[in-house]
Amino acid sequence: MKRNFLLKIFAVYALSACANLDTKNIAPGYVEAYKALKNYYFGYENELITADLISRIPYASSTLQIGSGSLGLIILESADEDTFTWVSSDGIYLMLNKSGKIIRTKGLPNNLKGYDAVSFDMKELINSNKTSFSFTEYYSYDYPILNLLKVTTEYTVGKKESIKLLNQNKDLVLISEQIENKYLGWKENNKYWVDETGFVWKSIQNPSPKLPSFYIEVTKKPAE
Amino acid sequence: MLLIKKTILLFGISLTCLTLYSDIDDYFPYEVNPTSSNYGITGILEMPNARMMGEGSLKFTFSSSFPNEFTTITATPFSWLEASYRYTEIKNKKYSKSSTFSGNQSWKDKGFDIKFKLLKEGYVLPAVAIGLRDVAGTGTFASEYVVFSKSFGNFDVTTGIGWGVLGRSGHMHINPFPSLFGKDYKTRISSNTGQGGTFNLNAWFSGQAAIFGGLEYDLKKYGLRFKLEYDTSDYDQDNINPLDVESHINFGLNYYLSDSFNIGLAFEKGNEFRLSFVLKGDFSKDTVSKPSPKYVQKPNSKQLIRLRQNKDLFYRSLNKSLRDENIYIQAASYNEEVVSLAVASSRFATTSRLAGRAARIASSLADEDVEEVIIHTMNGDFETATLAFNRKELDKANNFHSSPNEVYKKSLLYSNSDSTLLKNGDFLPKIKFPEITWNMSPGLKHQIGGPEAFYLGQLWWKTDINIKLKRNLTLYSSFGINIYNNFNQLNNPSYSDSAHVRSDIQEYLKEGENNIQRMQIEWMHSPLSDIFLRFDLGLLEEMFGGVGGEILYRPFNKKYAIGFSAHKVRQRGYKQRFSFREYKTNTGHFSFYYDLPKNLSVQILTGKYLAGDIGATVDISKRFKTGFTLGVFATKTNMSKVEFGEGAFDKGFYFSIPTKLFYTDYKSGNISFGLHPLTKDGGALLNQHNSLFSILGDSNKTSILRDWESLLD
Repeated sequence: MKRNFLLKIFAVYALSACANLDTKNIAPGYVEAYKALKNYYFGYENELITADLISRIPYASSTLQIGSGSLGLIILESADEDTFTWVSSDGIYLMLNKSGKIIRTKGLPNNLKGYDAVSFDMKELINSNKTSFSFTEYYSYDYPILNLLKVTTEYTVGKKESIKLLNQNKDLVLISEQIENKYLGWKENNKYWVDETGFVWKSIQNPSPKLPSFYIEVTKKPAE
Repeated sequence: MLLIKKTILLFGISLTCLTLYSDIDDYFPYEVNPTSSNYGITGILEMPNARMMGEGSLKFTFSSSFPNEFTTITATPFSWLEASYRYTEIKNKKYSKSSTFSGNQSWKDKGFDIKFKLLKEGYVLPAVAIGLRDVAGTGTFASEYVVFSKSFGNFDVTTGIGWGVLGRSGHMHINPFPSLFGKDYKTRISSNTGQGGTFNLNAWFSGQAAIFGGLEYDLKKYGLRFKLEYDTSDYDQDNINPLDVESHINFGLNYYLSDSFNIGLAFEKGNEFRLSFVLKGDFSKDTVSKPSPKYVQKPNSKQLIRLRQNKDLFYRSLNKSLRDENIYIQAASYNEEVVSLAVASSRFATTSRLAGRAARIASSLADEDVEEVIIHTMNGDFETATLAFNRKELDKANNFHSSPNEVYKKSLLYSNSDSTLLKNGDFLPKIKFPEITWNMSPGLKHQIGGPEAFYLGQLWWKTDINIKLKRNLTLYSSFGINIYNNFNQLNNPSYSDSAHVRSDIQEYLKEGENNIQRMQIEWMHSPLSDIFLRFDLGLLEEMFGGVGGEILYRPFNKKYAIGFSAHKVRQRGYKQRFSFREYKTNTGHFSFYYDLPKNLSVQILTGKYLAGDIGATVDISKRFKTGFTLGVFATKTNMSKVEFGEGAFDKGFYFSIPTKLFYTDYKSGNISFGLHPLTKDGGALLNQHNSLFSILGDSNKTSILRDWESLLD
């Protein structure tokens, strides 16, 4: 009896399914849940940004990944002597100073609205005889508002290493930046990969205790 | 005197200093905030506090010690109300005296807790709450309390007065109620109500009361919350659940692994350790960002003329752009001044968002002379609403020069359900009938808290096959194939004196492990505007088959809807194939639905239930902006309490979380959970697939305007 029943079910299923066999119909909820979890824990796959795509875009560009989110492209919107403003297609703005450090963000759930610190060039660090430099910096945020969060910073100049970028290999100096606010217990290690001119090609930065790490890689350098 | 003044001044300054840190505290890695008591509702350990989760939150708490282990679901439908449903395992007591009935299983107890916020914490005044523990249960943990909590920087100080179990012990006893309200409050009548299910109002706030207190401290930097309390509950005096109490001081620690998950360890009553965890979610907000509307390249003037002249090209372009947004054209027409579209989507559950995205695309492709874009939204084969947009205003809004409210002022919202665009549209996509759709997935069935074992369940494979024979006429079928179950342990047949319309659940689970869940043919129609009909025939649900129908009057511009459903049904065989049992009946209900203020909805059904009993069901639910819904229901019929048995009347709760809250894209599904504490024959409704209100209830003008801000999302 049991076998008969199973056969009947199979027959109905086969008759209806053969014309429409689509794996999207098999446990779609579970498959989507698996994808969401996979993306959440292991990040999104980069299938869209290629060297060919970059070459076809006439503007300076970088890739940006925030935490385990999807890898996106940001375009240089404007530049002046001290700052570079980059923008993504979904309206996220990043303002970087000439040291490649994020000094403002816009369009995120929590944004860095202000950055007060001594201005310097990465070239000064790599050409100096010292290997570490300490500063005090002040960060200000919106949502929720927080003004002048005191952060102690220590830069350490590392060795030159070969770094694979999207469409090229480059010998770059690793500069580590240890940032800390003792009251919050917020301690992060930012990394910058810098060429001999002081230009930051790649960085991992933590601009806020409320945001995950930002992975930035320059794919087309701004014109001098 | 000077010393006192200086001390007060110093204390004042220190308090001011603490509040200066309020901004920076938001930047700690995790939000260390009040967490669950042992019982699940927000509190310290055994003692409550006046804290609550944010409105629209839901949490699952598991807290284990000896002998009491609590598993709880807690929800906050309002900022001033927190409610819990709890299963308790009492490990030092047997389920029953008869080992043939319940074997070696320990006692299980169900209970509801509720807490109301009376006063929000201010700069000087504390938060005040009043709560009831184990209401409408067996009364084993029955307590009432009034509690005050005040935070001082990272400290949270709580004190209160407890009655019932909370008032049994301690060193400070006081009950102000006898002197305020009379001597009836002097002595507590037993809270224990045997089988439970009724409110023991006479016992509330009566008898001995005790002052309790507690202190919590947040070490936010490390995600820790310390707890210390003076526990006035004394199970030693309980002849149901005796428990040694060696100390009234309990202490514990909670560690926050994330904003939504924390674990706890406590030492209680001087002799027991307790381990707990809390999983919490705030579903009133969608924190996962979703894609913005896709950009549609506006054709140049030559292309626009071509699209105007070649309507087929226009419809194909429209169809393609809409498909990119997972919106499907059901019908369309394009004339001099108006573009009309009938659209459906399984991606957008919100009518205004669906209409907004469809209108944006239509406007991008339409000629500049077009003044109006009309979107007819569809669900199933029903046209649920019509939104006529002023094209100019809509374009301005899409370019950030106008707002959704300004678009609304120049729009018309109405319903023409009997004269749809499907009947008179220029463009109707060709659909080949019969249209067959299917999907399959694993599923779980549960039987929780029975005498045989706490959890009995089945893992099964569900296959749904829907064959659409023509518009409005569909054959729905659903089959289940067993993968694994332990239902063979079920050994508690129904002895109900009434017709066994639901209480034979054990036979259905055991014998119907491979079943036809449903096989019904359904026809739907809207003969007049705002009047909808549905007829169904076949195996309507797992326990009943038959024939019947439903009519719904849903005036689009009103906040109410009225319906009537009637079915002639016969009970299906336990194997759930094509056989039937002897029992047959007629069942039907008048229904009334109303949208109350504050996003509350009420549904009242009155009529004849499956067992022949006559009565009414009231269902109240709260829907948040995200679509997260919390609801409770209760049914009272003319079936006597004795005949109904344990629980006295049918009741339960449910919640529904939109799946889109977990994804980076819009989706229209929900994760739903409903609980009937007991499966009884009284107040049993026929489970109707595709009830008209489930299709049309969220599409009236009130619902669309509720989500109007989503128009441009």
